[in-house]
Amino acid sequence: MRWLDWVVVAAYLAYVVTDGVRFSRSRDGLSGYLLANRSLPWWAVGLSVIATQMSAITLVGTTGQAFQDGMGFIQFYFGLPLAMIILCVTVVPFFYRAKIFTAYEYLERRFDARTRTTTSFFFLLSRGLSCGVIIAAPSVILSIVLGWDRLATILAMGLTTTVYTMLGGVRAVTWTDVKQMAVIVVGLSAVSIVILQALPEQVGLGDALEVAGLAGRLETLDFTFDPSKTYTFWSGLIGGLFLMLSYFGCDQSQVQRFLTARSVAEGRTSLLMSAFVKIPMQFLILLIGVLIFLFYSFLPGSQTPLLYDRGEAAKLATSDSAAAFRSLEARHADAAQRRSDAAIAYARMRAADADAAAPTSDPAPSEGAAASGVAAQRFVEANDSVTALRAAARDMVRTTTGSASYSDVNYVFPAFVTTHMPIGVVGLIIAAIFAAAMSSIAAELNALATASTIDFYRRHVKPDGTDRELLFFSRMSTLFWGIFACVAAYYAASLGSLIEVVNKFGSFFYGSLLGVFVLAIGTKRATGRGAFWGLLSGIAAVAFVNYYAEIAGLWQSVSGSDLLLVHVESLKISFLWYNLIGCFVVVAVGMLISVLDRSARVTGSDPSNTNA
Amino acid sequence: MSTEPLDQPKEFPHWNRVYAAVILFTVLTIVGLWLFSRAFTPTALQ
Repeated sequence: MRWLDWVVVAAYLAYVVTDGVRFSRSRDGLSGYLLANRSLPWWAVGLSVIATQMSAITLVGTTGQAFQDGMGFIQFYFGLPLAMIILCVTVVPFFYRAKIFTAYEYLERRFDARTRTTTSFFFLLSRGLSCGVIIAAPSVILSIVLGWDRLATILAMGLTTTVYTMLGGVRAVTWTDVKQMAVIVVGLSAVSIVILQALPEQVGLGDALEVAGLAGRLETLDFTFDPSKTYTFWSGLIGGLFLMLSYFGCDQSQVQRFLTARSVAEGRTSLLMSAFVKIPMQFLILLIGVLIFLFYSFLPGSQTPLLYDRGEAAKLATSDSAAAFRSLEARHADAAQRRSDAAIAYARMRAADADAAAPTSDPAPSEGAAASGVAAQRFVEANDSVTALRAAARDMVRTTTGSASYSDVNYVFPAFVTTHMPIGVVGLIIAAIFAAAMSSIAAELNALATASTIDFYRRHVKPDGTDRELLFFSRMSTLFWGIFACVAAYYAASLGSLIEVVNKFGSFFYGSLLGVFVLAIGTKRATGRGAFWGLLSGIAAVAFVNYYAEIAGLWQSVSGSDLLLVHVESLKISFLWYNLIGCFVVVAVGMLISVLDRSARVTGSDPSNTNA
Repeated sequence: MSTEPLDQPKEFPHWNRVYAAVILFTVLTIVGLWLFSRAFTPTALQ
């Protein structure tokens, strides 16, 4: 980073804080602080919904995934539009007209205090920790790529966000989100323009994309029905639908967004904005990852890194494995050079073919087509070598660090930006990464403070608290959760593919939370006891599926029986399906217990249960 | 005579059409993605 980049990042941080603090002068009271007195326009709420969902992990992780594996991640969002429609029909008018602060507040009205407190507790636990991961992800990467101290990076992101969220409340969060979305869009546009300008002479975007196609980076759809595969059309459509229903309908950080809208109609419109925008926007973000792959494919081999994580590369270069690592680097530079030569040759041939294209009655392949076929073959072989050598380097890091899930995927985007972007643009993009992180952190902190205040403090500690007392507690709990997230971020340092960690963690609880709301809104027969035990059963079922291999291993070591081990392969299920499993188990167990409750009440054997 | 309070904004009556538009747009987007992938499926290797 050069001086102008520092100026851009510092100016961004200073502006965000001063702009957020401006909202602290408002004299709104608790409803204004937590719900902006339900006065925000749909477009601001809609942008805030998008900004909240798009954390720095999304920005950095998905571009890296597209670079490494292609655009298949887009399928993750296929269930989102349908989820938004279902929420607009059910949850949005329900919650909005119930005049609640938190989604869990409704569960007490429908069931009992125990169900409300339990769901809110799980929300606080999962979101509090995932807020730490949301800070940790970019802080680890930026500290290595930029050479900053990791604690300083965590504090720059976490404490800055805590200050403006604590002082300005939901108004500051929403309006800052709007501006942060603008920073992100400008930053990503700048990256795209620079990459397009860096394409080799005589090679257009279409020709370059043909090269990406050769490497399989543009395959977007996978129709195989394999539950162990993470990103397929079906896991995205069905598993993604349940994940999005849970996230946008039961997670306070998103529910609170549409509760701030002026009306039910504006709340609905704000969610439908995501339904229209999310897939095309994610496509463009993934395309940037593919463009970075192309950039490095056209670059001379000596300038293409073997590992994008400079920290681990430097450690390996001075470790006991230094000689083996240097040998890998030399072979990688050679393979990358062959790839570059073949990529440029192939792209130029395709460009020339397109220029000379004329209708011909001769169906036999031309000399040009045969030559481009040879170049394509060379490119694929060289690219396979590069991929294998990079995998060997990552294995070397795994061996030396002991981190089995190590990947340098999350370092690709920041490493590219800091190495190849012009002065000023680097600062802008680092600011965009900060903006993506901060917009998500702010919404989480705001939601965590709201749930702490409304579901715990006001419900259990100070039911007769004044507006002033509750407002003070909200601010203090924002500060508490901000510090908690920073501490969690500091210890959540070495994680693998961070985006999957966050989603997987959420999937443990999300499906089960959704199941409770399905029981609450979808059926009149469900009882409080059914919902409570259904929730615990759902979480236990998802945990069982996730840790099945470990449980089977433990069972074998204790009993000597292979009974559970034989099913390990068939129970390898992608985390996207966890939401469906959790929801299904909660509804099934919840309904069963509810029916038993009602039968008991009819026969008079359980007079204690009065929930209906 | 309407019994609705004067200050109550009228509910937008065409949400179903909006939802249908969202579904149509999503289907077209997915078809577009499929066509995009197909357009850049390597023919030179076949």
